[in-house]
Amino acid sequence: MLKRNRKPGLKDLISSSKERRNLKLGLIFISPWIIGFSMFILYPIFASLYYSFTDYTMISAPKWIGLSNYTKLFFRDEYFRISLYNTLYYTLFSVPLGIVFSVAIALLLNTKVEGMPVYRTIYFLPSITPVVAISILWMWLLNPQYGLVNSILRLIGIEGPGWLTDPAWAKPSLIMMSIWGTGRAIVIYLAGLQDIPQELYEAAEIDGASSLEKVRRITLPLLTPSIFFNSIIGMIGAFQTFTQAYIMTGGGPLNSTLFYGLYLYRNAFNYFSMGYASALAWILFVIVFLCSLLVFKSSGRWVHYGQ
Amino acid sequence: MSILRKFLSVLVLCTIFSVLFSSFTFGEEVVVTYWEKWVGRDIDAVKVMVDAFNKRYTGKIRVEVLSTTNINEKTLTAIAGGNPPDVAGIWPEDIPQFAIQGAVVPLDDFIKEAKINKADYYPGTWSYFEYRGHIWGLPSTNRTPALYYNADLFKEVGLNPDRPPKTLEELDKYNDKLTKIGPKGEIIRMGYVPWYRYPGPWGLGRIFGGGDFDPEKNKWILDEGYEKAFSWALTYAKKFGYKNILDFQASFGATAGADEPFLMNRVAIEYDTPFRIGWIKLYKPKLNLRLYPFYPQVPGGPTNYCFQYADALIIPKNAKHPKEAWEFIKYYNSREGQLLMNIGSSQLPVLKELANSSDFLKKSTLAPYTKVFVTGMNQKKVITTPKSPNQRKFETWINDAFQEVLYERKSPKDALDELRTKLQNDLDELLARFK
Repeated sequence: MLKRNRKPGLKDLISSSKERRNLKLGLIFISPWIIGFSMFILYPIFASLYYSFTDYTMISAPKWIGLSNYTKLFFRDEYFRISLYNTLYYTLFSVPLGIVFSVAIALLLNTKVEGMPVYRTIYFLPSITPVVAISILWMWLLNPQYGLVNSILRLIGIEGPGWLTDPAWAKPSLIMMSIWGTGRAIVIYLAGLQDIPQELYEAAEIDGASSLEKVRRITLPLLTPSIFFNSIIGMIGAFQTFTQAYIMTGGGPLNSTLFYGLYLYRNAFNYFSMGYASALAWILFVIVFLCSLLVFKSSGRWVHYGQ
Repeated sequence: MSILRKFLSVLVLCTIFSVLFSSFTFGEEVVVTYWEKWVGRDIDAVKVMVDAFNKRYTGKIRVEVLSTTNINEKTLTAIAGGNPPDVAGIWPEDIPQFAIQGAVVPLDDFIKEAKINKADYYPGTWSYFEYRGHIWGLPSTNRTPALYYNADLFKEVGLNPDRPPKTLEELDKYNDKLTKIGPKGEIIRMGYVPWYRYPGPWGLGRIFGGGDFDPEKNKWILDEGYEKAFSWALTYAKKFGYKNILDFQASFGATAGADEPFLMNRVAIEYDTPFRIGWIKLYKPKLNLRLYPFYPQVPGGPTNYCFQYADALIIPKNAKHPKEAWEFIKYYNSREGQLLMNIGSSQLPVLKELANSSDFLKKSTLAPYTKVFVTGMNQKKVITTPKSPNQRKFETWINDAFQEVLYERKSPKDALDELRTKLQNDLDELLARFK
């Protein structure tokens, strides 16, 4: 019952008693999710925004201090700068490298080879293993004296570094570890690869294109939506890295793996500065938001949707 | 509509019942929740003492022990969430902060009523709980380290197994003999690793005669004693290569476990607390262990001293049953409770008389090393960790400074100057917050 040809709005949704009843039923059915979402996600988000303007130890009432946390953060905290640098370094390397490796592996896993499901499972396994278990496993793999990595390097005559004990190698070690765990991204690329119409490859064959040209001209451009998705997701995840640093290095050596998330955790739970930690959290949100915005804006140039 | 009504009414009924049921207690028995940081055999020993308490208070109080890792963080979160345990066995470093913010129940009145006497306790152990004129908890057990060494390894390199290193110079010499380097220059065994286990960078500074913190003036000191300590540690890093030692340490197992390096003969000398005896007896009973009550003497450093640490028992604010929690803590600190507790866990009593009694010497599972630890503990000069509100930051930052010295990024003097300034600025800011 639209009047004056305007767009349908909420009033129209509830204009009849039957529709009203449907709306009420619908809301009741999703109410568990709404309640949970409001209590466990929405409320904490706004609470932490409030706390970021307070001095809050968690065991006393929060005390309003305005922008003090933010000014301390920007001008008087060297660990903020160190942890931000470490996190940016890690993100800048692990995300692109992760994309390159996972696309390459997805291409290999898309060939018609015997037992392909087995290979796909093997590559997916790391991403469903708990991060804590992976961290402990990699601590041993990277052990300078007895670890597999250095043992294999020794076989070909290279004396491997102290992966987690040398400040110069600690971050690269964690980056290596993250590339090993890109199973989820591979699965998404596989799905994306299935979406590419076979006729394009056949047409290219007819035109005499080599495999490399097919990959360059057909596969990669049509895979860009998946790459775009994984780069955003990967970036957001990389900015929040915590577990590996917490378990494997404790932020060391020499604060080379003091990641932003770890520093935030310390402020919240060790230094009685939940307010300051909240401010750190919101700064991270702004940074991640801006970076995502950048990637979104640039996507017009390199992401190809449709045919 | 009727189906929906039925569903909703069942849901409401279930909610009412579960709320009613959860607040219903059987009889008058009060359940006291006790979170403790220990694991494995250490927590089993506590349970023996808890069982004795529960038997004595059957029908009235029942204590439930929960082994809790990261206990300080979890207790803090639980207090913030309004659902803390009744008794928390925290590390005492956070007590000043908890005290300033009223997160802990002060025990002054309880202690006075129970006629608990400070003079009965080891003075260092008691001191962790006094802050700003009140008493914020009581100790569960005492910790005093002693020098462990492996007699078989001594014999192997031609050292007298009955002669521990008694001076710093001897320690250095013994380490040179005991350290074994492999064909490719990798360290296979070290005599002594100056930064592994006790006393750590803070303790080393004190051993070298340094001052750490002045609680009256709220001033961080960290003077020449600390410089000397850091310089001495640096000699080890330079002689063997800090990266080599770190590579060597990378394969150390957990401190409470079967693959701890001393148990694995990878380290010949270790300064550690009595709990290690229990683990050695469990996993490496054949280890030819010797003990000496003192850290090798440093020229110019304190003499006839001991470190006294403590494990803490506090009653968090908003604990549901503070009175019953206090009954448990009182028993924990009684002669009987301390005896039961420290026998099984191979730890040390907090009561002076008990530690020196034939009861304890006969029954303690620290035998035959009990006397060694008690001798150490009885020393008049006592060293305790600094009681500063920014103790946590101190622990992190002094380790950072120590590492910067060992990696040769900064000289000991520069590292300590920066550390002192940073700590002081942070403390001043913190104190201003809580004025």
